[in-house]
Amino acid sequence: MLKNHIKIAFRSLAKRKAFALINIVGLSLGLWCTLLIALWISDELDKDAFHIKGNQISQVMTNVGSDDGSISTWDGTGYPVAETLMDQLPEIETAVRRTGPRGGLLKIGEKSIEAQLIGTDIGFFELFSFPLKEGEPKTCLKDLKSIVLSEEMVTMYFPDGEAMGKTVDLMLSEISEPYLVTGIFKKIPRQSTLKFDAVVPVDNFLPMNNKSWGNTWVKTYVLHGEGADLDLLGKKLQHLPEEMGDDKWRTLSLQPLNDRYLYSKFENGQPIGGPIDDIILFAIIAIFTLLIACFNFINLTTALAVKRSKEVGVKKVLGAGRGSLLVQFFTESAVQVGISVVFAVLLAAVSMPMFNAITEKELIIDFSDGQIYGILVLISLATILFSGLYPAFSLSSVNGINALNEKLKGNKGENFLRKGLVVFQFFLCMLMITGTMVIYLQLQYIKNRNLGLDKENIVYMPMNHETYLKSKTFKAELANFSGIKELSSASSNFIDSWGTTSDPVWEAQSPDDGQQWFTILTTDFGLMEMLNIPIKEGRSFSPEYATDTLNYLVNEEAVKAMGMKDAIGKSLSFWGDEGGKIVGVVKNFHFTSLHNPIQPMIIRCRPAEPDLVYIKTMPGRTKEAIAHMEKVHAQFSSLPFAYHFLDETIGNGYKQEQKTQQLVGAFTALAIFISCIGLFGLVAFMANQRVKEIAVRKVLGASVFGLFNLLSKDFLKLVGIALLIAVPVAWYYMNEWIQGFAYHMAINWWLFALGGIMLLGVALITVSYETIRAVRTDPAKSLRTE
Amino acid sequence: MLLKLNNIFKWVNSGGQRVFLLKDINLSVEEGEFISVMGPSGSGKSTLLNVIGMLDNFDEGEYSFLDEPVHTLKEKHRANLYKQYIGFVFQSYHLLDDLTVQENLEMPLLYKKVGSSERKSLVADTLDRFNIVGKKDLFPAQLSGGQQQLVGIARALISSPKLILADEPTGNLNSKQGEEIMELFKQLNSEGVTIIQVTHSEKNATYGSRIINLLDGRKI
Repeated sequence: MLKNHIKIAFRSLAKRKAFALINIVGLSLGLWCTLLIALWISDELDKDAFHIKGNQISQVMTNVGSDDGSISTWDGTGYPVAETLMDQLPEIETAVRRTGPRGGLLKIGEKSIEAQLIGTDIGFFELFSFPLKEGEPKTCLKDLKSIVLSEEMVTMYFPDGEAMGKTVDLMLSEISEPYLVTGIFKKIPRQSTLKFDAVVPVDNFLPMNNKSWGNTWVKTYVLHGEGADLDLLGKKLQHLPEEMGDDKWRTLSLQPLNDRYLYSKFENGQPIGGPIDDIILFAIIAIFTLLIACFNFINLTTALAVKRSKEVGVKKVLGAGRGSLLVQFFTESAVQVGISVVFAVLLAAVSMPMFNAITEKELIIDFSDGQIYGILVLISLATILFSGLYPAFSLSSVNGINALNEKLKGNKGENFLRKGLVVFQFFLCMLMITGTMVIYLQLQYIKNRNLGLDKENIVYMPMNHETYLKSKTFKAELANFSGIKELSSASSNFIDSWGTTSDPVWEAQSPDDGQQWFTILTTDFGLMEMLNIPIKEGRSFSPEYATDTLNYLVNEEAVKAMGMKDAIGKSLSFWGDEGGKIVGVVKNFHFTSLHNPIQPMIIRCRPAEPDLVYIKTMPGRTKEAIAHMEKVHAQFSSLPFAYHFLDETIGNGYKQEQKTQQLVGAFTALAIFISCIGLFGLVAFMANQRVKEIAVRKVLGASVFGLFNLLSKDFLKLVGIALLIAVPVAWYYMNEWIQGFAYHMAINWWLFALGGIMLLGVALITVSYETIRAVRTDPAKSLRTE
Repeated sequence: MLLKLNNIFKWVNSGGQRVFLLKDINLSVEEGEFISVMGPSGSGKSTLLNVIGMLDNFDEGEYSFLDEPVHTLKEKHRANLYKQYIGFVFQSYHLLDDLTVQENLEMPLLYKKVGSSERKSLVADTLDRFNIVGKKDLFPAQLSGGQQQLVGIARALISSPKLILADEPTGNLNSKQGEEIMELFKQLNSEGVTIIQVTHSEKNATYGSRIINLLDGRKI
């Protein structure tokens, strides 16, 4: 029987090639994009999911309250948190600290390697599923000067593969010390968000930090029993810092490890989103696109039902039950979906490199992995069910004898459904098209916004351990080239958000002033001048004043935050510095991405502590300047040379949005295309149904334009209704999205008008092709068959 | 007694008025009869045939088929009844265009859930009996009208029904083809199959053993 159904399905497809083609093209495209998104989502959900104890691990987060009632959440905690938690809370079986990964200079034999290191506690390899190839998880980090290396490091730098028990030299800050290799860990899974080359006990990082509660330089993970009441546990540890003598502004909370990646954004101490937002967005887009394709299928299949009712009638008379007819029509849907799935997989395989390039993933379609089958079966079944359900029930419900007598003319309910589905398709298209435009325009807005600093012709390079030690001569050598106009340094790259501190105390600070948070920028002389950041009051740092290495510049926001009338000459100190005077106020400039408003900032001048060397090149001589930098770098360091352009870095700060824009744009184009071929199919069918009517009207003297109007009006009306419904919905959601930027453009009415005109235009072209063909047919031809 | 209709009424409501399609029909049919139903267009011939074939419902009256009261049976039960005992032949053949001759013949057997090997032998027998073995892989569109109707009759007979209902079986055929089909019916009847045919043609009606005349839904 099934064989028979499949046979009929293929024959009926072959007979109605155009409709089959539209169905299959639409479904293939819809399934293609669903498949890509499903793979992407499953990869995102797999992040860090490989830890066997994952559902028993939480990370301790630090919440810092501010004067205005807002709470910032950091993933770092103070050094003592781990021990205190283990002492005070019996529910917590173990707590492990981790710092890094950060760069360290590793010397193995004669080779120097810049390796990514993490510092952690003894329990690390037992808590997390990073299995050891050699060594004991319990003891490998027991001795302070022990090191566990990655499998890859060992194969690369120990020619005989024997590393255990050997000594390597590691320089974490100023001096190089010997460490004993006590373990080798296996390759880190691709799904891990934490990547590192080597592990040492966390206390090796202590000299650069301290054991205070306020210095939140370690991440703290706790192991609690499975099914532990995290709310209760969270309440218990919330005020621990204060109870242990820390200030009351700092509280603790827990976030389950399994949520850590997906919900990385916090607001007022609560996780509000993160990568999960994109997952939801793209899941919705995938569903939209697939729905649109399914609607095509439903529309065309039910439209064709009029022609197939005879078949149903005959079968009923021959004794076919409803059940067997349902099976038959589902088989037909399944055959078309099956063919489409094959095309979708092919398309996905071909487009995967491009998709990976946009999403920065390494997805593959791996048929040896069960997962792909799971995904395919799931989306195929959903598609078959969704697209096949209505047509199957509608077709099989035809009354046998009526069908044979050709009394069947398609019913009103069905026409309404068909119109509804077309409206819904174009509604979704309109949402997507306006979404794409808003994202695009907002990105343009960001690119063109005046940041308050001049980012042209600025190259910066990170310092390493070797260049840092000789930074003075290094900088002097760098500057000694005509292609380099100015040189300075800074502790940041002007896009990443940096840590803030509430440590500063200033002259005439009122005791009522609560917590105020400042960003600290450490520079060399000349950075403000290089970046053309205007000084509003006072003066900039200058080597002419010997004490300027103790003095400060502040931005306008900082003046506001400190509540000063006249900031110049006021004293200020923090982080145990000697303290100095404010010598100038700089105009506000953007030093993080435009997602965030400009924060109070204190700028200090420390020429001896360069993190990033900033260089302004002579216009047109950038290449030479970089060649010079590389040459100088090679004289000072054996480590690889790296450099970045400031404007590119700033642009990269919106990579996430750019990625979203590209993908949403592509999927929108796809969705519109699928909707249009569906519309095309419907119009073709209707025109075909009305061939005689058109011929008669033509004979009676109807004009081509009048006929065109008659045929296309109904469809364009549907598209118009869809647009009208979509506008308020799109407006609402786009406003929501745009609020995520502290600085954003206004959403204008013309945006919707433009989107609507574009969509209507595409629909008009689609409808025209078939109607014009129908209208221009010689009436004699179509009447002859009468 | 094969079937018996008692006081059958069928009507539709049109513009507030009740229009009778069948009005007080009484009919009993014995096994082995060959009945011709005659009457002008719209007299209710096809409706009567459909009611007998259980393809259509009626509004009042009683209908028993092989002593089963059809009017009280559930849809499914009724379907089983006609699947087993009744075969249909149509004026416009109603073969399935997407299926070959052989597959068309197989169709009713599939719905009766006849096993594969039995199906094959039944189809082979039927092709043989109707002398259409050479056409078994052709599609309906590749056959002449007479040939198509031959396949239609073969399909109706394949599950050995007790009753054949034929709605103007020769209506779309030329006279020579029509004659052949009527001869076939006569032969089948002589082999014991009960036949009820609707026809316009006096000549065709004479093949039957009894003639029923209808006018405006009434037997006259």
